[in-house]
Amino acid sequence: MRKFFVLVKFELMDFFSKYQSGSGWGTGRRGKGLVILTLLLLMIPFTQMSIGVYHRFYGLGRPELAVAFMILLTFLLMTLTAIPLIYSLFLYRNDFQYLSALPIPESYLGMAKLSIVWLYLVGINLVLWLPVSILTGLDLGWIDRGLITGFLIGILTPFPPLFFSTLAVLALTLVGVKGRRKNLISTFFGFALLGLVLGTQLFLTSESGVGLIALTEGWSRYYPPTAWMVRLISGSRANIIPLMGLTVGCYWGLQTGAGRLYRIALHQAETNSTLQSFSLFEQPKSKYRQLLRRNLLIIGKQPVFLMNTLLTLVVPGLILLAGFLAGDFTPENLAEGQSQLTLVWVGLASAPALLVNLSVTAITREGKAFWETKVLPVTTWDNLRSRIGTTILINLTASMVMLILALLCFPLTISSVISGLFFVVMLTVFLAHSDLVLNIYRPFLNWSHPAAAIKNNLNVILSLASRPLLTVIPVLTVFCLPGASLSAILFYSGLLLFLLTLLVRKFLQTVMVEKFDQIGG
Amino acid sequence: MLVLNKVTKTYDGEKKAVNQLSLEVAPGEIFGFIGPNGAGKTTTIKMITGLLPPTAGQILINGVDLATSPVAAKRNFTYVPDHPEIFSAIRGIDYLHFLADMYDVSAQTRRVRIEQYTQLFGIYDFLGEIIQSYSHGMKQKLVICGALLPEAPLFILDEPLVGLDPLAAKHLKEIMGKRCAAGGTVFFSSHLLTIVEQICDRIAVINQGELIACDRPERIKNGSNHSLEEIFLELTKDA
Ligand SMILES: Nc1ncnc2c1ncn2[C@@H]1O[C@H](COP(=O)(O)OP(=O)(O)OP(=O)(O)O)[C@@H](O)[C@H]1O
Ligand SMILES: [Mg+2]
Repeated sequence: MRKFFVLVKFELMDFFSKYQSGSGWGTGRRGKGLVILTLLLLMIPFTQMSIGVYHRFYGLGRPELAVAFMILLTFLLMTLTAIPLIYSLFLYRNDFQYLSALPIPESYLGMAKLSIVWLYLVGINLVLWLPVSILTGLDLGWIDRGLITGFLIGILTPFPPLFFSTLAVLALTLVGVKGRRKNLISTFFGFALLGLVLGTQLFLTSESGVGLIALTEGWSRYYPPTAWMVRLISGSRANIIPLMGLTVGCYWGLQTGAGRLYRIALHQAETNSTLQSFSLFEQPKSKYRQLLRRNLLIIGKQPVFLMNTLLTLVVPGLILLAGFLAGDFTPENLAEGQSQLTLVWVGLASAPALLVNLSVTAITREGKAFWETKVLPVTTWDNLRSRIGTTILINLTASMVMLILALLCFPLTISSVISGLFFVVMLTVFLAHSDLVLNIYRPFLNWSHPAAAIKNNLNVILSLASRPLLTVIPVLTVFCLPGASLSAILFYSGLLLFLLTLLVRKFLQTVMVEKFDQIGG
Repeated sequence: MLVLNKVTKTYDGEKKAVNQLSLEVAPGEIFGFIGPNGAGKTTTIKMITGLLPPTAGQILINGVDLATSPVAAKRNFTYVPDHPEIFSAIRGIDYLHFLADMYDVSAQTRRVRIEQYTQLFGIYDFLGEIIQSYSHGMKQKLVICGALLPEAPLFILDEPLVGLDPLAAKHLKEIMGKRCAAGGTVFFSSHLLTIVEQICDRIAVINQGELIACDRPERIKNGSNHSLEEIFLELTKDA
């Protein structure tokens, strides 16, 4: 057993150091301090959320449902957190090959990794769950039991989600998702988590609370432990028995699951040494298409760039969708009348172009590989054009998704869709050009951590800070066309942006092309 | 094939990294470019490849002015830099197909050449892997294979032999020779004087941005029994 704890400690240190180096703060003492500080800071909103949950249900006159709600929420949160974590610990890290050479019982190896996940889940769980538990205990007049029972529940409830996640990862390996898909898995579950948190916030703040109560009661029926926990907290100790039973069952299941995962991981490590096949034959592609593809891949294949882009692109849409599902955003309470609805959707569809200033890092993102396209026999303008094209492609795709969401949520008239769309396209095209000017003036290619290329970057800040200047355009249109309809204003603003784009494009083709040629390789 | 006409590069407005450099490389030559650290070799090569615009002077590649018709000029050469920093989140094969498209290498031709060159440098089996997983030397070999792929008339390399294993270095030297026998031209910088002496038709010695000698190796030695190394040290002494 002592060996087991040594193994757990080793895994924990390994996990922490990976986390630290992934944060980009270096590996020194200072980096460690910053990581701990961030984790502590991260606790604050979660604790607040937990307290918010309690007060919400208290306000609705159903404090006992706060417990049920929290058990359900933590179950989902823990499951969504554990799946990518188990996946990466077992199938991506792949240290089993040398661990398996150590004189340790095989069963320890898998369980040691799962212990890390369990500890991580306990951490999340306690932060979220304890405040509700303590407040409920206080309410019932026994803080000690709220604390002790709460703590006991806090360390036991991670077992079922851990078990489900292990099953889920096993299922993923069955359908052929292996170690190479780590980015995909963590992105997918990252978004699922984000959606869950945003959705929860929206549900909690929704006005009537009827939906919230119905939802909590309904879902509690699907997950019986919720009822045991509610009774346990209100003093019925016998309910510890089914909870213990469930935990033991899960533990037993986890042992089997960990063994299976261990063998799959080991098998994967062995077969991984066989090299990937490839094809020497490929249909030639046009130069412009290849350049565009390269620029898209630079974003798509670099996890930091990809996450940053997707997050900023998707958050406005997620808020809309979650709000709509929660019944908070209805056309009636969002806006009075068609023109305000139009403004809402145009705002949403413009968000990608306004927030995700891809062009402003179009050169910076290449970093030390920047020289590659500069020595190729393509014109400088084609080189720049492909970068602009990449920005437009990504931003407009996101804008189209927003438009579809908006069409699903609100009744929009054809004329507002057409004029709004024209405006959004012109805005996107204009910003894709103008942001690039900034990057050519201030290229920054000597970064070593990709986060430095896109965050804490003066260009990004400058470009965002200049966005309010854009209001000049609709204001000017309104000034020139007093009393015009919203559709007309959008249309003429779009036209103005189009003319501005032509100007900036000319500037790029003449002055900036030379400036670009000066950027050293 | 390559003409430099009083090419000058000034960094930060004052520091002359390359000063009034004039050179002529004839077709079919292997041309060695040597000089101490900081002499201006990389700067010169970056100007020839269009990575840096010269402050003054003219560069002609195959008779085409690099400044006025960059695309036509760039079609005539490929380049291997002194570091293999390339976009490495793609597979080796994707990198090669990308370059083949950029230099209009047909599907049939690239098939043959990719196999031929990558087999020779021993990276064929790894072409399906992400470049990030390559070692430094493997990346360097990939960049070399990519630059060989278009079989452009002029092949420019900046310290290509550093970091290559002896077998790969031998293959590269042989390829340079074959290229020239077939009418191609090779221009490369190096610190490995014995190799330069052995394979180059002509050598240019540069020091502090200025050309101090340019001739056949035996003529630079001027019949003396000293090694090129000793001559080199002598030439670049009073810096
Ligand atoms: N980006 C730059 N900014 C300012 N000075 C530079 C820059 N790049 C090079 N230099 C300077 O120009 C001079 C020539 O440098 P270069 O890299 O061309 O030398 P090199 O002959 O290639 O040397 P090495 O043998 O070390 O590769 C050096 O004095 C160097 O300090
Ligand atoms: Mg150099």
